[in-house]
Amino acid sequence: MAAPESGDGNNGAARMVTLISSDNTRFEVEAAAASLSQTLQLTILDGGGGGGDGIPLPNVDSATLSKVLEYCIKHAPAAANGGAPNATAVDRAELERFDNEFVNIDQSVLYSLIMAAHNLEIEGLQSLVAKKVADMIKGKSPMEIRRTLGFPDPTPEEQAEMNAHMLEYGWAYE
Amino acid sequence: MQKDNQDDNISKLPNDILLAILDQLDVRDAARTSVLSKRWSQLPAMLSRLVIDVKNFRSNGAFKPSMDALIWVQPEDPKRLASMFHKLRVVNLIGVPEGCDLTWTMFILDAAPSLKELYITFWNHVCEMELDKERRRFNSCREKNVKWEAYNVEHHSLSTLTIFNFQPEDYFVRHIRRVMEVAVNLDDIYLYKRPACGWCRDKYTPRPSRYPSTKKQRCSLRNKMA
Repeated sequence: MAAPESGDGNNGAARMVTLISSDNTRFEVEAAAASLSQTLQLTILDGGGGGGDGIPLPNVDSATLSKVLEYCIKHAPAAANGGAPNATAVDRAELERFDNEFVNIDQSVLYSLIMAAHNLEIEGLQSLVAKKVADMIKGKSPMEIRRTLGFPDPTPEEQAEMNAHMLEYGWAYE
Repeated sequence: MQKDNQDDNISKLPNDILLAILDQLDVRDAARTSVLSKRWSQLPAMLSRLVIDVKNFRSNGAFKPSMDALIWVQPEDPKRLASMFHKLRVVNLIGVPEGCDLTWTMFILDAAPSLKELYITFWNHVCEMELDKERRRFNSCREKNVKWEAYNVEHHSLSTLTIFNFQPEDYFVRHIRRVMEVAVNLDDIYLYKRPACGWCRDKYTPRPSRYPSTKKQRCSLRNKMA
């Protein structure tokens, strides 16, 4: 990422803010990237997060926050363009490639990410991860879904319930 | 995931997030998640949006004369389904075969009192027509003998009805009139000849085309509706 010097606050493009994770790691990012979070946007507009202050994020650990910021930094230029109506096909393809790669990660990381995206209200990231998880469910039988998502093996009662469900809702299993 | 770490972490997520995930699934995939646990079985009732792809309710690619593709809604009492559907605000019916009696879609109005937007897309797609000439022949539904009860309860929430692949045929117009009668607070009806389609956007028209597009069509449609 480009790391321009901490601006004086009047220059929107170069302004930096500091975010502090639950385990007290400080992250300095461009205000434009952090503003992808609806939750942070107001604080940043009010001039918060600059100088030595930093915005504490008690619900997000440093591993998750660095991943979230990686997404924000990549998506900030397009978002600043108002959804990038004049982005080239190459730019869009590059973002898509980045997104696909970005969610190609361990499930527990996916869940931390979607929680953070939810708390910070980063819409694009939330739907990106939701889509990824949905893709892991699509076209699978309940048993396969259980295995994929790491559910414990079904109890005999649960197994009986699964069989009954399949009989009653045949249309969902074609 | 490692074998020794078989906690279903997904169930630690709050309902809002699980619903956002279910939102991305079609109704069949979502239905299969409802047996995962007690909690998952209660989630579909909290959904506010539902996409039903009617093509998925065919058996083995052919419509049976009884239209058993749609029969899953037929035997259910709308009052019973209302507990599942009462939060629905947006329903999107896609792949609806042409030429069918549309009365069954009224059933959704009856079961979903909070519904605000209803979208119906008929199966008449340029890209599918090319790929699926054979399938289409099977699915174009000529069976009109299925009796759906006519629901006449007033619906107070519905504000927009949008139909893609609209054709100015009598049964379409009759159906729209029926919706207009039942939905007392209906504000807008949008009719499109073609939907905007991600699959064939590059090959064919990029934007949906509105109906009626000429003055003559507009007059004729108005006469039929009145």
